Amino acid sequence: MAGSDSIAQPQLLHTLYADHQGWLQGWLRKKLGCGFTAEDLTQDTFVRLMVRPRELDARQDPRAHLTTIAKGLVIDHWRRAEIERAWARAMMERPEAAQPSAEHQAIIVETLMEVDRILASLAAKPREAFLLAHLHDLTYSDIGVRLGVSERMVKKYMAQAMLHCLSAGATFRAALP
Amino acid sequence: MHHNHDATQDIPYSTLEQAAEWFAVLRSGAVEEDERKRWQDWLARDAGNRQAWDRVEAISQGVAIAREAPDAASSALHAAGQLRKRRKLIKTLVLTAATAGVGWQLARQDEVRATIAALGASHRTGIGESRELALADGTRIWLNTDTAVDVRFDATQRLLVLHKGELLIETHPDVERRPRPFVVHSRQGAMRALGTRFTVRQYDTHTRLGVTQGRVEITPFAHNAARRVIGAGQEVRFSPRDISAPGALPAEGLAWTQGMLIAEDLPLEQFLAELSRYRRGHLGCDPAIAGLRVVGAFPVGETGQALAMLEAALPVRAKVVLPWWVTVKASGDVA
Repeated sequence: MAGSDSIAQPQLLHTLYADHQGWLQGWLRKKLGCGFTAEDLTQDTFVRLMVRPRELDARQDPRAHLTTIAKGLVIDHWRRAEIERAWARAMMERPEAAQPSAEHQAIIVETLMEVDRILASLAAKPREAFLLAHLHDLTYSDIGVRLGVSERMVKKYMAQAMLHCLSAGATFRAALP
Repeated sequence: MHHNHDATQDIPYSTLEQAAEWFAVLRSGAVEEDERKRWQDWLARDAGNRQAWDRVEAISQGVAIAREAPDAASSALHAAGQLRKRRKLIKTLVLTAATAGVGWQLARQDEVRATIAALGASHRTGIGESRELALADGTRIWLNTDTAVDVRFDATQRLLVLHKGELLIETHPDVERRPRPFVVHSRQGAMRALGTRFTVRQYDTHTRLGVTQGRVEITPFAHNAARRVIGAGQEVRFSPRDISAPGALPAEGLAWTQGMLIAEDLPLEQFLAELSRYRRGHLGCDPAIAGLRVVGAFPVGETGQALAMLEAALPVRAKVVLPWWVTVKASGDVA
């Protein structure tokens, strides 16, 4: 449909930004209690709109659509903060020399965000089995003992978790050089 | 239910299923030679199979990226899970309030209780209250007026989360065989105790930390913010990004634990702002006398008495407009 593409025009996006940036930032500030983050997420909301312009067509109320995008970004923001905080806490326990580089850590946190997002909708035991195998390199029999199930069951869980990732279109970062 | 992205759209679901099965077989470690052969045949049979397998490998390598710090990765994922639970709990509470009215459903209630238990204990004080608590590890904490703190101890750490108000913490060596770190979170950052007695106060936009014994390490929450260790006798304020230069810790800072507010040459306006933390309603100051200096020890449990003492010491009157609306003016101004 030609009509729904019209939003991609820079002029229209410009108008949208001018009309809606103000209240959106105010709304985000109230949600987040922080001006800086509200500013960042306001920009992110419009970036999202630029990347996926088709999602907004002329018939839809831009306010509702922007709020939906922003809500998702707020949830992601808290999730990221929680993951970063827990990660930083764990890193504090390590001597400086044993810590991965800052870039590497940033990539890991990013990956954990994606892993968390994808595995959140998977049942607890398959998720646990999948993580124990990948992060802790445990054998199926060790995992079975931990989860109180047979090795055969662990194998089933592994297949189930992988299928879940595959069908959810997981795109984890490839291993670092 | 799962939204297929462009990347997987082209591969039939049954192929993805087979790839996941093969992954589970090969990952088990105990693979017979003929099984490996069958897997290679499967790979060679169809370009789609190869494609699906590439994706399996990419996912597997991606997840394993955090392998060099498995415990950190696990606890980060656990933290994200807890956050999700908290959000679900809030949703449940809101839904229950909206739909059930007075009648809680029992099952719901248990679910909520279990979730709350998993999240750790919460302690609160109202305005004008203060409280002393002994925690499971022997640590003692004092909550000042209008304070909310969560105690979340687990196998890896002893964590306090300060939501608002002010705390004094006297840490105790851990009772566990492997000592867990003692950490306080404010909205702006993490403070890790290194054998200590210290106070933390949550302001609207920053946190104030004062250390009376030992040392405390601050890690502000913003990405890449620098950490700093604060020593005894120092106080700092910090935002998620920055930590102020340390100043000398004022001696009167802990008077609240004795139910007192000690003013050492404090401007009246600032004194009243402090006193109003312990009192419901508005406690204002006429700008004309805002700069008067206040000296003395005032009881915070009896703010009425504190105001009477103020009237005796300075040429001011506390004008009670309404029970919860008091303005302090120059005594000559009050008719």
